[in-house]
Amino acid sequence: MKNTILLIIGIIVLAGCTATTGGVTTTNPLAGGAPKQNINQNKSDFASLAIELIDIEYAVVKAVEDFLDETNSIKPEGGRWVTQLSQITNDTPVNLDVRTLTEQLKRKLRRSGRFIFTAATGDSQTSTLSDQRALSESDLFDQSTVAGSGTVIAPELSIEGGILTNIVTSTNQKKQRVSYIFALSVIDIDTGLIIFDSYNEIKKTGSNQNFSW
Amino acid sequence: MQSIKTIQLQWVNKLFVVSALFLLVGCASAPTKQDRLQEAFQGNAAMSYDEAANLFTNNGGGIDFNGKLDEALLAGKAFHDAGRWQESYDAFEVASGYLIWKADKIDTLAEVGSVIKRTLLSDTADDYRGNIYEGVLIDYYQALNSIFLGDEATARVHFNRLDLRQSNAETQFTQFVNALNRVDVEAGGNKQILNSTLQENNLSQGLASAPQASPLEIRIAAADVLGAIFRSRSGNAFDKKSYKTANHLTLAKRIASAQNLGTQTINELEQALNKADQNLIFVFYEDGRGPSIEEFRVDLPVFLVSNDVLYSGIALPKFKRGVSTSNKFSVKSDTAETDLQQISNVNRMASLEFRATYQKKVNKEVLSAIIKTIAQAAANQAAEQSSDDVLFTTLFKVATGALQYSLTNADTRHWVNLPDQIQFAVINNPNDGFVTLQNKSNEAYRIDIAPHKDVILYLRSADANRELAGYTQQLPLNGPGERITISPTAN
Repeated sequence: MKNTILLIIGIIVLAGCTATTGGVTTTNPLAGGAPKQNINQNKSDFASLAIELIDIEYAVVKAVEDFLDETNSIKPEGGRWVTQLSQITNDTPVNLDVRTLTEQLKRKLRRSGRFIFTAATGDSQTSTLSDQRALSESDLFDQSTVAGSGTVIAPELSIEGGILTNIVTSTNQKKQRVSYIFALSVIDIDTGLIIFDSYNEIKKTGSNQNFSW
Repeated sequence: MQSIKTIQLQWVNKLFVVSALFLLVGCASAPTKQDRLQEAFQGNAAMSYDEAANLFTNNGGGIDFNGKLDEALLAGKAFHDAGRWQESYDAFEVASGYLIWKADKIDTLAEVGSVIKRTLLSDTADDYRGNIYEGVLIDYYQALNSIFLGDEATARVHFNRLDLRQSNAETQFTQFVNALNRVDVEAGGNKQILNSTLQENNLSQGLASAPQASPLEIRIAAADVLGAIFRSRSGNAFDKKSYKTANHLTLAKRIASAQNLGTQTINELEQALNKADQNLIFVFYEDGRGPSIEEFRVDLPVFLVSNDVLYSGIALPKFKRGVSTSNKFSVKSDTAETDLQQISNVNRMASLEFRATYQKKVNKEVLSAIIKTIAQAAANQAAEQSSDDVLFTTLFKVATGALQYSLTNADTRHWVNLPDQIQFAVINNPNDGFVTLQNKSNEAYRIDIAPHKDVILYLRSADANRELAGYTQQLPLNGPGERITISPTAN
């Protein structure tokens, strides 16, 4: 009898000892290898409250998929849109290299076959173009091989946006929810009209013990 | 009858024990970098900002500090005052890693062990833990470092961190006070042994110079003023579209009012920022030396009432207010003149947590003194029982008393190279290439300013013995800032 009681107490104690991994709950369906249908409460031992590469990947995939679903992403006269990537601003408390986002974005849009990006203007602007034009003043080079003036193609679309944060703490100050908002706009440079915008949010909930960065 | 050899051996043992005790007493620590900075700042000999920064570099020119929070804070600010922005940034990044906590509860075994260690020995037995307001100031200085490095993206990150730290600081401080009130440091029945004698001494003198401030003052108005300027004059459309400029100005006025400082200069800034086509000069001036902590001791003549104990006492920290310089600056152009006004008082910010923890520190020191005194009495009694030798037992008591004295010290670690106050003014850029900084004592300094630009003019004067250091940075950011030579104009 005594052994049975001890066993029962032991089981109750063990049951009460929930494994506190300190894990973060995230709405990113790509985090932690969770099943895609379980999109609201993915708990991952690897997730943190800061922005991770997997969050950027999700934001890019979502934005690209949404844009490609729009008829505005198809150039009416056919061919590819010449596109400039303007500034993507990191307005969060996390030191983040936005190039990971911009490079993924460019690659996925380019692979759709509907877009080609310019290196002549915008954030991707390179000095190569102007440097090469300077060769036209050099006697060293065969001028028939030097890039000529009036040949660079101006962009038709501009993509810009930013990453924002919103942080809310629970009433008892034990938990915090950090929302990362990926906002993108696509602007028709000719008309000035915004032909597409996206607003994708990833919410992460975790302990309020430390700041989220 | 004992042999001569046995007697000699016993004396060797006794001498060893007494010598060991005195050695422990004599193990004084070498002066810390804080001690050297404090001495330099308070002494007559002027240590330049570069010389102060070099305390934290090694012979190869690399950053050299112990990697702990207290030195990281000192190093970060020393490099910052010297205009060595990258080194300051690196030092503050180390400090920031220690101040990532938001909660103030003792809920891990490591923290319990730390509390026990600090109770039995002193607060200095543990690493410096830091304060909430220091976390706020770290991100303020990191934002400035990023601005002067010309890195707009990183500056934006630190302004966002500053927003979060400031908004959390009030809540965190209130939680901290509530947590302290739940911790009851009781000495039990033994409290009677020392309590009556302690009450005869003025233990509240540690608070005499600590201003009483409201929880809102754990925020710093200068941070919100700088944040408003950054967002408004940024090269990024994202910043200009945000609501943050207006928010910052509202908060800055609230905090300045809470500190009984005028909001006139912040109102002038608000009006000036609304004029998009006017180039402005934003003047930030860090004045004086900030607050510090001293130790005061209450030593009890216990030997008068007890043969078992020769020494008992407590040591407590005492808040020492910072010292302002006598500079009263105004900024003049050919068409306008405006006085610099105080927008942030560092003493009030620093005193909040000091005052909140003081009573607990007193209780803790009483408990610690009781424990050490009981241990001293027990050791002395054991020595008396183990030997009839009066000389040995007397020396032993002196040694244990001296040891307790040396273990009784207050934690005076503090971020000593902060300013006493931060002043601000905004004036139109006259576009003729310079402005004049006029002191009410009729000293005047010419300062070259880039025309047709928005410019931050950043000044520092720790005291009259030290140079007036100055730096300028154009907005929007387009490269690193410049160190300027501030020369007196001829009368």
